[in-house]
Amino acid sequence: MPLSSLHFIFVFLPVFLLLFYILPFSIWRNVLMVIASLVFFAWADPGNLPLLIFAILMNYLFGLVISHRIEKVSRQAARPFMWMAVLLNLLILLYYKYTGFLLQSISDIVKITIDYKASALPLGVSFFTFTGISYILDIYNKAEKAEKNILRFSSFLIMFPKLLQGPITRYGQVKNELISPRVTPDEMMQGARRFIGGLAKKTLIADPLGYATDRILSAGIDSLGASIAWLALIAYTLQIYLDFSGYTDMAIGLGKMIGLKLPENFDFPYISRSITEFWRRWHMTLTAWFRNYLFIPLEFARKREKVLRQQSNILIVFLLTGLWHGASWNFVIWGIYFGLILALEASGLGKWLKRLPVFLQHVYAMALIMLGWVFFRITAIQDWGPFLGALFGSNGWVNPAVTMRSTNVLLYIPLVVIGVFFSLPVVNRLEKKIDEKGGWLRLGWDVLYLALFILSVASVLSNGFSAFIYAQF
Amino acid sequence: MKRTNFYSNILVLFFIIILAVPVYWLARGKVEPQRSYMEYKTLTVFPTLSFNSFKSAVKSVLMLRFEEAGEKFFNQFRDLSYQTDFQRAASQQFPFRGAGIRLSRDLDRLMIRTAYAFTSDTAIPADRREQVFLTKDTKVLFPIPAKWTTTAKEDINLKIEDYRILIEQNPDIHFYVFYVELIENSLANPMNQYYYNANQGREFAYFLENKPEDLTVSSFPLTSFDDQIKYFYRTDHHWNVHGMLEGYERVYPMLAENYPDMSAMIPHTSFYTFPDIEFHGRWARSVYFKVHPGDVFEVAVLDLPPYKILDQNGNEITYNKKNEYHAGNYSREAFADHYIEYNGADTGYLEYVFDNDSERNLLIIGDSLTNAIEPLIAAHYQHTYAVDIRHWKDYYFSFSDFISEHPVDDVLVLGGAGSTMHRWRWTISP
Repeated sequence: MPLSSLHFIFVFLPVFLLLFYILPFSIWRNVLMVIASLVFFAWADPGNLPLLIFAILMNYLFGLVISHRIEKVSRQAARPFMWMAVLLNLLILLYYKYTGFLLQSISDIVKITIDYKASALPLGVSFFTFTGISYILDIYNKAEKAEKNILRFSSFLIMFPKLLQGPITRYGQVKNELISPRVTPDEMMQGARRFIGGLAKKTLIADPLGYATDRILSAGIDSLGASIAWLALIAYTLQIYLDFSGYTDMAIGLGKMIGLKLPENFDFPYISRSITEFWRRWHMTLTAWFRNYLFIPLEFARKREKVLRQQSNILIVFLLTGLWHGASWNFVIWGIYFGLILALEASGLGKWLKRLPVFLQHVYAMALIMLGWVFFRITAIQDWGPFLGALFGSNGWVNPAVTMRSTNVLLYIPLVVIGVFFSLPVVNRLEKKIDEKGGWLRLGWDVLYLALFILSVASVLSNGFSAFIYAQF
Repeated sequence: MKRTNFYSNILVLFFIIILAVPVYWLARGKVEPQRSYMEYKTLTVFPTLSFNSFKSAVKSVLMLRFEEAGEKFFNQFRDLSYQTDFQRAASQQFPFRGAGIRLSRDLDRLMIRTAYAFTSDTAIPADRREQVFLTKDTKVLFPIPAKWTTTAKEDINLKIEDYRILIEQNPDIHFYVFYVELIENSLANPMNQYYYNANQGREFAYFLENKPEDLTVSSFPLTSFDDQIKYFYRTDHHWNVHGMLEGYERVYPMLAENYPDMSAMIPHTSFYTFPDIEFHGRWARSVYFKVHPGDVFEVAVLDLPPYKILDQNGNEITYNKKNEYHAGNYSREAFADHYIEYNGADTGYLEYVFDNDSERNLLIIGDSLTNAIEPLIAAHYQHTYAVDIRHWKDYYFSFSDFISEHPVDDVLVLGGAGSTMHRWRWTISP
């Protein structure tokens, strides 16, 4: 059930909020959250509901066992259970997400045909398994105690605002709010603003920009002129950020409406001056996950190695980051690409970059980020060459075969400008100032939010409309 | 942060709105499925759940008869059919849906106007989704140019070969093609300069160059955009009454060449304009955009001999709504398809039987352009069979089978590029 769908906004959400605000005790609110999240999941993926329930029970029970072993015996005694829980989570992910990819790769290498019918990818599997692993490791590392209340634990693991696309949340970040879910009217309003802002970013800017990119790429990558290839790349660069951050805004806004403070996931990544900074601002909860649960343990485990240790660890982390994003080679290469740049930046390039004028630092970062999106968006590796060639003018600045008019994408240029505006911290700073001043400015700003909400809903309605050509066809 | 309750609470409206919509649905109760004229479909209503079915399914579960329980109640969720209907209903039963769609499309058009404000283009996209353009000055909606491709050429070659065999196998029958050039195929399309492989009449030129010698071909070309405005609707792809009459003027002498006894041309005594119709045709409909003013819906008052229309079973039918229109009974829907309603919808087979002295029969193979002109041409024949191959199984029409049951003297293939020059969807198998 996408958060931007009409049935979510006008059926699921009001019913949930109404019940949530009516229910007096935290236990009932947790019951509601669990039931709502299960319905939310089952609505689109009923077949995998048992898997989700298994993940809840498995992580809950292992958490208790690990906690118990640490308290009563030793951390060492809890270790096998920690590994079992982590491996079970990884096994779920591996089986559903990567089996097909692995078998296909083996089949390509050894040139045999493997008959395999892929299982449907469970919704949010990458997120709930990583959340489960973080919970287990936090208990094992004594950062958290196991949650004894299964309702609270289930709420944490599968709460619907973050179930599909995160942010990946550590138990400690929401524990207190789950124990005593409270919400003030002011938080409700802030939540509504955040939700509407995210909805507008997704439906009014990101989705149409995605349409523009699709149109250009489907016109034939081989025949793109440089101008239109750049438009496609810029549109995609904006789309992926505004779509993902828009979704996160919606999730955080929903959280706020019910008194949960979900972690931030984006901090205007496109203002970064290096790739290292970019990964501190982009998908922050995933980066933090890999840093806390993979990079730091790797650094620790290999502390005696002196040569290229950090660089190789970065490479391992980013190889897996790429793979986490999708089970195909383009994501693997995308991950390695960023891993290599980050390794170079850690080896001295980063220091050298800081000596450059700020403008050039931005140009450096944006150029590499956008190049990275080529590997991310274009899944067919054989198309990378022609597209990169097109960017650098292999078909000229404009190829008459595919123009902005013939693909009908010229009209998206104002939206690109708006997208750039929303990718920079301008609106946020403006809103903070308005918040400080309050009064009529705040009122006007909120009226703007309402207008954005209505326009977003109108846009979703419009997408569901298709006029007939002739009555008979 | 300085705040007053009033200022911080304006967003309460957000909560009121999201709550008001389901309350509206609940208050409305069960509704009968309604037709959407624009989408030509019945709008989905919220699916209902039966408590008795649920009870019975639970009983089956308790008796471990899971399959039975699924059939009674649970399968609709497992196969997502309930969810799909529910989602559709949430969109299609949304209050003020039409206004919402219009608002969104208007926003798109604002963006388009902004993007094109810095260009000297004479036409701009009418919508973000459809490839329909709008001329800035004359407010004419028209589609982008059709492409002239190798695939199109190959398809035309097949059609030419079909014509050649047809003529060879039926030496007693006269075969005619009357090609009506639509703006997407014409040199007059203002967007041609932006499409390197735009048709620009090349398709027809190729057809003419390669057609069988014995195939008589005539055409109604668009020589300029003024022709488009004069002979076609500004918001629809069909010809208007003036275009249709111009077509008749050109078809008549072509048919008369091998038909010396052909009765005189039918004169039109006058025109009639429906005063309260603002016609917004196919292009307007597809982009949800009412060009102001809409098209004038004008028809010719013709003095036709008495005739009847029969269906495939020989039953007399009322094919169109001409009489109803003249009695004032027609749709007042903003985007009603008056061309089709008035002239009749596309149909696989019709037979016109005229009460005249003619002893000749005609087969017209065509598209929706023929719907308007058929009675005028048919008036010169005793039996006229009108066939739209798109309504035949697999778009396949066996000519030999047809004429074995419906002997004809003349065959007229009339319409746009698809019906006259292409095989795809209009296969006339010899």
